[in-house]
Amino acid sequence: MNNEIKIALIKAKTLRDSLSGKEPDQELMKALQIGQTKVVNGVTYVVKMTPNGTLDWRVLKPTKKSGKKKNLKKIEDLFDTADFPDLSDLKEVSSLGGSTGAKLVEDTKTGKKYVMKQGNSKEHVEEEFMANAIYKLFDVKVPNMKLYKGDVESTVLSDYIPNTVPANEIMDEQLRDDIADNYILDCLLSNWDVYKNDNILIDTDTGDFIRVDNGGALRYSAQGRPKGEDFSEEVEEIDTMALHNPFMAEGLTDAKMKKQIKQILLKGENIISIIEDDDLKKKMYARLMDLKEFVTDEPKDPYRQLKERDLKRALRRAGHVMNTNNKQGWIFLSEICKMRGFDGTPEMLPSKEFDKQLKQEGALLLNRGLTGSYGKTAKDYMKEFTESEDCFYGTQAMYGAGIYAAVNAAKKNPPPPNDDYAIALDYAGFEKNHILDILVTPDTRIVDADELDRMMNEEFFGEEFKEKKDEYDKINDVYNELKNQKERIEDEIDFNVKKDLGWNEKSFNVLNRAKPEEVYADTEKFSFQKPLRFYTKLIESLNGTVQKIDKTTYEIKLPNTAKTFWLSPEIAERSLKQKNANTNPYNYHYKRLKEFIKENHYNLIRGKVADEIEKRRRDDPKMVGINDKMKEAQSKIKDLADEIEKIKTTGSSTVNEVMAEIIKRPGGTHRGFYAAIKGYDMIVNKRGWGTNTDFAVILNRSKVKVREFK
Amino acid sequence: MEKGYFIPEKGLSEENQIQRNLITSIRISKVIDYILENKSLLDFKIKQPLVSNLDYKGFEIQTQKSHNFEDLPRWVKQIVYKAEHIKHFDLMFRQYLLDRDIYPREYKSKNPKLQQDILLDWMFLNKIDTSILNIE
Repeated sequence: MNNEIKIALIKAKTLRDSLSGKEPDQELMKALQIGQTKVVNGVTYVVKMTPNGTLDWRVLKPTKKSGKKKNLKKIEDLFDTADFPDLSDLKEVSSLGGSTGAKLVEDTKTGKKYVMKQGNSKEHVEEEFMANAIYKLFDVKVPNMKLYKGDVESTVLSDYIPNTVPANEIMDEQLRDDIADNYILDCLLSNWDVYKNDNILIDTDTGDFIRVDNGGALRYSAQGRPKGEDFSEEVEEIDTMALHNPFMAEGLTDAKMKKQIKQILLKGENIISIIEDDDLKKKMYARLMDLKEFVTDEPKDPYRQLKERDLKRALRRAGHVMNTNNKQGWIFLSEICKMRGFDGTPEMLPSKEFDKQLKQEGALLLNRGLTGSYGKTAKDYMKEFTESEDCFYGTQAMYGAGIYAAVNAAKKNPPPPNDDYAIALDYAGFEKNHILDILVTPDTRIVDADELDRMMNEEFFGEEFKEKKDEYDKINDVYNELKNQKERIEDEIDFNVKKDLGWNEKSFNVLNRAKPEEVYADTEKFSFQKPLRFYTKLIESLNGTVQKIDKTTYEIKLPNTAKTFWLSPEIAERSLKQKNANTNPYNYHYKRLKEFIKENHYNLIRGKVADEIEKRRRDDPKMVGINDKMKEAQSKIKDLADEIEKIKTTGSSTVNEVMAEIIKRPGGTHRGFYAAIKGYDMIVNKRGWGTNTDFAVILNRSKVKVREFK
Repeated sequence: MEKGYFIPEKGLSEENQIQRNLITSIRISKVIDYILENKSLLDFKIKQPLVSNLDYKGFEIQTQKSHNFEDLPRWVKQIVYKAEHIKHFDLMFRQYLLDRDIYPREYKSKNPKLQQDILLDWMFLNKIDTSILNIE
């Protein structure tokens, strides 16, 4: 089918779909170009990029006839090239190096010097010229230049600026801020390397800083390789270039970036108009629309569904979902919460008003205990929670990333004593004044932690998985409780056997930590009496005996063995040993005594414990019953695990890059990320700490209210 | 593994840390990454992850039985001790690498023979028993 006919059919179908309220097929729409029109019933429709990033048809609004022509600059007017020579009049002076072999050339007629570039390809050098032209549109200093377009190769000739110094060699905060005045433009142009090496030079004659090497801008890298999807329809560079050039990004605020974006958008049409390449034109249009998202003044619903691009942006800024810093805690969580406005400061209420509002049905009281660290006091942290612009979400948590607090079920602080409050007090290092009282209003969007886990399982892996996982968790619970029962019985056996046979924990620790064989190794330095006293005390604590048989022999007996150890000063005198020059000398005789005690008392008792446990496992009906039930549960667990693995691999959920990270560990810390993405203000875990206290994980700081504190 | 290792918290006094280490959520959250993932640069002779994603829920329920770590079931504490053991040595090794200007990513990209040489040097320097690791 002829291409023109094909396009006409696509136009007709997609416009028909759009007019009937259906979203047109994006694959078909990609065959059309932004700006293409079609007239139906006297109305002109045009292909446009929507704020959602999709292509659709819109009614072409007639432009107002103002009598004034739009002052769009043309590319040929951007540079002053009247005096530029023919390429044939140039002679090479020297090579300037660089990624694609720039040369210093001279006009043989005038003696004027130029920099000549041909890039890695015709397309590459033309793209570099386009980047420079866009910079020129915004009066950003680039060398004056001319593009000599050829069929096979193209050449860019630019004025040679002799007296320069790389900006990086004299970079300071002032220069950085001046250069960063065009940070967003650098990002829009995807000029990855602009802040590196000597790509920005300072003209020492004029003081101007000039972006001289923009070969890595737009769709090509500095080496001329196509960037492909790395030059995308989203201006990801706003985040990535900040990550790779942290010094440059330091002085940038949201306000400054928004101002730069607005300035760029004012000339958006001009940018599009000077681009000839259709693909680049389309991409640049999408990128400008992406920038527009940053500056829209429409109030955003804090509980709106976040788009994939929002999640990707948060992930880009964080680097990884688990990355943290001292200002925000979990950066990813913080970015999501910022997008929702959750990071606003809470309202402070005088005590009376706080108590009054707490009486509302459905209101909750939370207690958050704080401790000083990193040179800050607990009071500093309390003030940070209530006043600081940056909401700190924490860096350590196992039940969900976020800000923790105990739910005070009684809705009242002591007196009388209150177990929930006691938990917070523990976290506050037992300082009452280091506890924040937090009010949760009835309209707070709270999600139960278990419910959240089910939601995650269903979303990531489907309904069938969720049901199987529920079943798995129930049986696993049963199994774990059986394990606990078994352990309690074994602990009891352990306790009783050790008690009966004279286990002494204190002496055990002394035996393990002390090194009498080294301390008293040298019998010339330490008389025999010292190790004798040491061991006598130890052995008597185990109900053993040390009996002097004659002048040179002591008989050592322990209560649970018929074996005897003969301790002798004469033997000790002959027992000094040393393994090698790097080890301490020791007395072999004293060492053997130590081993005798370990072996014939402690290890023997351990053996008896193990025997008794083994016997009970065989003969005690209760233990036998527990073991049988554990085996049964284990078998079911294994079968379910296998089924679950199969379901996971054939699951039907489609997940984006961000969710793929969260899936890796559904539950735990990641629960907090998921809840924030879904727009919950708070997670509450009903089981909580110990058996009674629920705990809350706060995500929306702006939603809660705090009792005033001194 | 009887008692685990004390994993320090930066910026807090020793007294404070000891007190906090008695609390379940604080003690376990210090090593939760090491429980759920094979995060260490060192290849221990311990099956990892210590708790799989499937079993995490069950493990979590058990950790919520007591605010005081010592009152938790023994098998739960054993898992935490193992994680502390792994993290303790992992952090030591990472510091050893950093002292020699070797970033973890660089270490991982070195060939196995070179990795082993670095590892063995560290182990001998710190008198660590080589049998704890899977070294060929």
